[in-house]
Amino acid sequence: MIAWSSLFVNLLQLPSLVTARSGLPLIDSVLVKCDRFMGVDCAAVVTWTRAHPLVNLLSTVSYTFMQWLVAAAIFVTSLSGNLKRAKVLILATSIGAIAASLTLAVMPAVGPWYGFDFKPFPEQATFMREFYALRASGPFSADPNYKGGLISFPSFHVALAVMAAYTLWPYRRLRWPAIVLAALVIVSTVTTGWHYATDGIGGILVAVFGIVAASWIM
Amino acid sequence: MSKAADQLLLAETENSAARSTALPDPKKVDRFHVLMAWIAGSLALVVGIALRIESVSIAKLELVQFSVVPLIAICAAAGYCHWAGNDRLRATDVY
Repeated sequence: MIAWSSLFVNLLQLPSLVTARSGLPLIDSVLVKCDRFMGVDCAAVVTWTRAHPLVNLLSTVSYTFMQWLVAAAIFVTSLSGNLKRAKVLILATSIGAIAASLTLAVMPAVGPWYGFDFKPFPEQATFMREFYALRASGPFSADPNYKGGLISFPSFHVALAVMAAYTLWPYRRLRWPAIVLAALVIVSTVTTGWHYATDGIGGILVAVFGIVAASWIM
Repeated sequence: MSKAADQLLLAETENSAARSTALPDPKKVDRFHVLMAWIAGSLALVVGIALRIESVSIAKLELVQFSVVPLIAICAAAGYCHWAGNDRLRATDVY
């Protein structure tokens, strides 16, 4: 289980390198409209977060909780012998990553700093360089210094957090901490300025699709 | 001490019926592993060809790291199973 999940963590990042080159029009303006329809102004949220150092720190740290949540889900289920749950998580992650990569080809987006016009973090600026270089025709060489993903819509960060929280649900002592951490991850995707709120909803849909499909297959 | 830790982890699961209680037959290949191998193989093939067609190079991504990450995880899991000394854990994880 752990070997498969480790392999797929790396392998599933590669399809987005191909699908990002689709060259279809960016949908940032649509995502901005969706966010505004829900009453979310990413620029105002990010500006407010950055003006409050403690909230900014919590937001930045919360964004990294996702990997710990997923690692906990894989290790706890595998090491407690709950293999069915571990299998569903790994398969759901694979299905979700493929679905999200294909969505990137059809509905590419840069990110809220582009749609809402605010200053990106250095890493977000690096992402933008990578993304534009991929969309440009001609040879592309992946930057080893950039460790992030390429998918804005749907947020795969949110999808993974939801899938991990779902996986840890049967464990009574871990259930609520997992829910709280997943909620923090979902909120932090907007407060850090990495994603539109609509990306989060897309991520939840990807997680549900992945879990339902994986449960049906298994 | 270590057995108590195992039992605690196992007892955490509310729906114990959902877990398989029987040890897997080591001679029988799990359908899940076949499925994952098929997905990994076909994904690597399709993405490899697509990267080639699209002139996308991943040479700088240091693919050796891709192999090291699973190795560390497997060693950690194997270390835990050895420390736990639980036959059931050993059987399920090694399998």
